[in-house]
Amino acid sequence: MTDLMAHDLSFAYHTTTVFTQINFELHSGQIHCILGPNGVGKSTLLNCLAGVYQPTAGQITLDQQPLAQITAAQRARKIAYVPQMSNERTPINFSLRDYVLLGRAPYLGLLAAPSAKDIAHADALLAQFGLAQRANNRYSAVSGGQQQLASIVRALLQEPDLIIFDEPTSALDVANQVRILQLIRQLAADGYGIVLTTHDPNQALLLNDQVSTLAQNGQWRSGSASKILTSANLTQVYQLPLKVVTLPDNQQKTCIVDQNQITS
Amino acid sequence: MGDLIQKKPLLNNRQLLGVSSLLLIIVALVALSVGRYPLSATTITRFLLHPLHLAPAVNATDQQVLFALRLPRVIAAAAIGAALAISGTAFQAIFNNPLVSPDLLGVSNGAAAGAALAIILGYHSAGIQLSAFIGGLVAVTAAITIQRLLRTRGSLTLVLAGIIISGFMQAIIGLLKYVADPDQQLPSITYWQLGSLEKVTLANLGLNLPALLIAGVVLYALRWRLNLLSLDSLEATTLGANLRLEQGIVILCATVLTASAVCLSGTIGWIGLVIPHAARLVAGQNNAKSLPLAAIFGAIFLLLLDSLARTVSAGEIPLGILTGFIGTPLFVWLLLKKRVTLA
Repeated sequence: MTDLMAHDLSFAYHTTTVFTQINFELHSGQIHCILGPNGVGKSTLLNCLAGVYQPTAGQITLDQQPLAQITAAQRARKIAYVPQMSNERTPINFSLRDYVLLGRAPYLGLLAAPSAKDIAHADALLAQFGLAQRANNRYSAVSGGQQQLASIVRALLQEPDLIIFDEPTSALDVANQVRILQLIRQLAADGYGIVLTTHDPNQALLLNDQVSTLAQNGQWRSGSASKILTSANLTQVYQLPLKVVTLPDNQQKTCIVDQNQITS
Repeated sequence: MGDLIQKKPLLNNRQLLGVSSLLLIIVALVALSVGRYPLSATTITRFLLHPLHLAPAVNATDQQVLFALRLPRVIAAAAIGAALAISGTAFQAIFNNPLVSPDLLGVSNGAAAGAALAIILGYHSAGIQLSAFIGGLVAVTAAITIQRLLRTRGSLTLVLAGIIISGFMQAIIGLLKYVADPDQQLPSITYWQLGSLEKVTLANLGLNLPALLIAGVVLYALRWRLNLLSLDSLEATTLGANLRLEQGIVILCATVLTASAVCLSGTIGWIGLVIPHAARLVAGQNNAKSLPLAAIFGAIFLLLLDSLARTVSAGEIPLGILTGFIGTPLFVWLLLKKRVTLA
């Protein structure tokens, strides 16, 4: 059982405050979805939780140990990070196999390379994710969905306890979005602790576990999905009349824009 | 999308290394035999096998030519070619930028400026070597600093910063030439700028070879790690890289390689840019596979060029000129070829 906790976390770029006094918890087997509009600092928060950025105030602990005191390699054995697919990301031209094998880096010394066992493990995971046929293809030449799956395979090769996803569905079509969300659910069922950011409240409703919202005014709310994903809170977070309704056919909750409340 | 069809490479990595190593040996043997004083294959074989008591000794003149002139030169050409190619591969990997190289980053001119300064100050061998290394390091640090100050991450910004630093270092070399003693120092400095293996001796080879070997072996050992360091800094850190330390080691070693090469032969351009591309074209993007191949290709390339420099005319053509003439079209061809595979 691994716990990642943040207490009274604040972050500022130079003099610009990004967020203040955030309290966060993640445990093995849990899905914690961070919701909020674009540009509120969700990715910055993830970078703090991944140990890449140092918070300006507050403390993050991994199994009661301050995250800042853990080396990058030790951290990478506990926490994996699946980056957002965006045009700003540096293009990657490795083959899919070479790309996912980078996940073994935390276990390899500075001068070592993946062993035959690592390669066999990578190939087995690629096959499990339906990427066996693509193993020798360039990462940049496969589809967005396959790139995201490869990033997840890379994360799994880190043998982590927790996985951080930065906007895992942002560049995907709806079918691939659902596929990735189902996969995230499966990973949590397998015991991984998952934290992800999204700007779509429906994804948080679909995952239905822990949810935090970060509003434009910096207000942070945390709790179970049923407690946080209310019409009033979402309306306040997105500054848009949003309504959480229950569909009559299958009792599934969904978030819609309340057209009647929109003033032109 | 033709790229999605899996292509089975003609040769696997081990076979590629085997074939290119064999080619390197053949080219080295040819390089030993050609020149203004040509030597037969039998003489070369006897010269190489005699120390193992497997063949009779060659005559004194041939022995002198081979031992004092050809052998140091062939070793130097192979070592410098390999060093520049490894250095280029390492720089291109850590900056994740296929357009950088020791010369484009200003490292070569920085090292040449350092060496020129040491000559003016009256230093000798080890002093010149150290000064060349510091000059190279100052250049690469300045180029990275300019890129950071511009706060852009594009490939071209670093190239632009390198061009700026290169220009500045050339201005320093110009100034040093202006104040240099025209009889002794000026010819030495001019020689550096043109690039030649004419003055390589066993003595200065012995001085530079250890640094070349150590830095080369460290980068060879780090070749898989270069893959990790080529990712975005955020990703590399979350995968466990200690970025500052690891990038620092790579920059130091790549600069030592360039500076030692510059000390031996002066500035020889293009190899550090073109050869890593050629190796990746054959072995793929994985640095663990492409770096050793780049080293062998670099060695072969410079051996061929030096043999050409020694044979095409009565006087020797400076290597910097030859690499420019051959490297430029080769680079254009590589860029075109790369575009074809990207389409």
